[in-house]
Amino acid sequence: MSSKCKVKTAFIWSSAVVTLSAILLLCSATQTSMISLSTEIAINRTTADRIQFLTYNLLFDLNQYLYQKIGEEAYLIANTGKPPNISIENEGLDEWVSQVKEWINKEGFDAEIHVSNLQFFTYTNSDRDLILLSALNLPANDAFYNEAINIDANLAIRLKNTLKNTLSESFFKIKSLNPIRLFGLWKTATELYNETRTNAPSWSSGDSLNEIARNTETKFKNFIKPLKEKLTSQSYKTEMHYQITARKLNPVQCQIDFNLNKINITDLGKYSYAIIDSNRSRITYRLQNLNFNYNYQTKLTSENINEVTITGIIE
Amino acid sequence: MKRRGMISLTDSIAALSLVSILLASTFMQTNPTSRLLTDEIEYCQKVAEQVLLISEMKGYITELTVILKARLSSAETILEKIVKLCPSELACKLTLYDGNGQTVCTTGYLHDTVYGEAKCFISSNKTEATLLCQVSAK
Repeated sequence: MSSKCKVKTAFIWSSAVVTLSAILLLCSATQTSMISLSTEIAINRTTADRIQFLTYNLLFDLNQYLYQKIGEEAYLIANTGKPPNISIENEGLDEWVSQVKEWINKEGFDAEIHVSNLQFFTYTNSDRDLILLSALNLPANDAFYNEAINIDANLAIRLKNTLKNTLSESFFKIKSLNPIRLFGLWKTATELYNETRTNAPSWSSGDSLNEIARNTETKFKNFIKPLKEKLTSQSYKTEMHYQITARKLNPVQCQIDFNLNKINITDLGKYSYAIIDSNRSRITYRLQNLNFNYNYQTKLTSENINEVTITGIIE
Repeated sequence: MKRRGMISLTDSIAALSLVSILLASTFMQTNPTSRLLTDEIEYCQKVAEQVLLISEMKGYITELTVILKARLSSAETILEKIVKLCPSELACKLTLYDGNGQTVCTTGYLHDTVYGEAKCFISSNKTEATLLCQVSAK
């Protein structure tokens, strides 16, 4: 082979090697950049999934927290017999928010959480969030939801991952409920008292204090019986402690003192309970010492007794 | 003639070596195993998150909260229900931690050292609990 031919062969070989190297390098570079891109996408997707999961985790947790808090509040209100004005103090909610923030920080996120527009009112058969109800183990509809407690709130969440430069902002309207029939208990208890007070003057009859007191008691029991049966059919349990006193004012007039020492009405609904001191507790509305009196005019028999008192319990 | 042949052989050996080195470096850089691992971990994490979200929606987490609040000892029963939400071709392990990071109870087993995980926050009784769900291939 001539020297000219050798140079030509060497040139061809070199060109082939250089071309092949260039192709391989190009393939390698493309593949590497594709892999790094898809890895970055995968990491972003994982972070986005994580943020979304955390957001829903907080939504469900707040729903559950409000449900529990309302239960505790309802228990306190019912026990003290106060009107059912439910409110969760800001400190309680701040406690939840700070707990959540601390936990989320540990997970590598910065969180801003705002809970606003908290409202608790009588259940109306409308737009409750069925997923939130399901999360509380509650059915979509129940006959005993009437006069239960609607829970409405707004939740705004802002999660930021500074390392991966990811930001997520979410806003939820919570429309949940606590099936404790606090409003129903209050309404029933006050109606029982008011109706007793309205009807009682017509129950007195007889002409001796003993007879007047006994007749009043009998009529009272007869009056309560159908009401009680109706309440039992609605899964309410009632207990009334009463004291009826007939007091002679003058030979033709006596005063009847009606003292409803206790009206206890318990919600026996399937889902109506609160966790109090680590126990599942039924909610019992307790009204105490409801008194009223009225005068009854009749010609009283001449007896030496000036006062007759009867006490009893209707369960 | 021999000298002419020797030159040609050297050329080809050099070229072959260079190509081999380039090929090797290309395949070393791509490392498909690590990509597959990332995919598997991502998939397992997704499944773990779905398991926890479904258990939230089904009310299992609320049941767990009630158990934690009432200090009942049947948390395992609920965790077993949650484990069953995991697809049967995957293995799932659940661990419940209290606010101090102490393990309250554990259910299920992992069948692989490669796994994805998700953590769920549970507020309960003025402290928080954490439910950790780990998912791996069987």
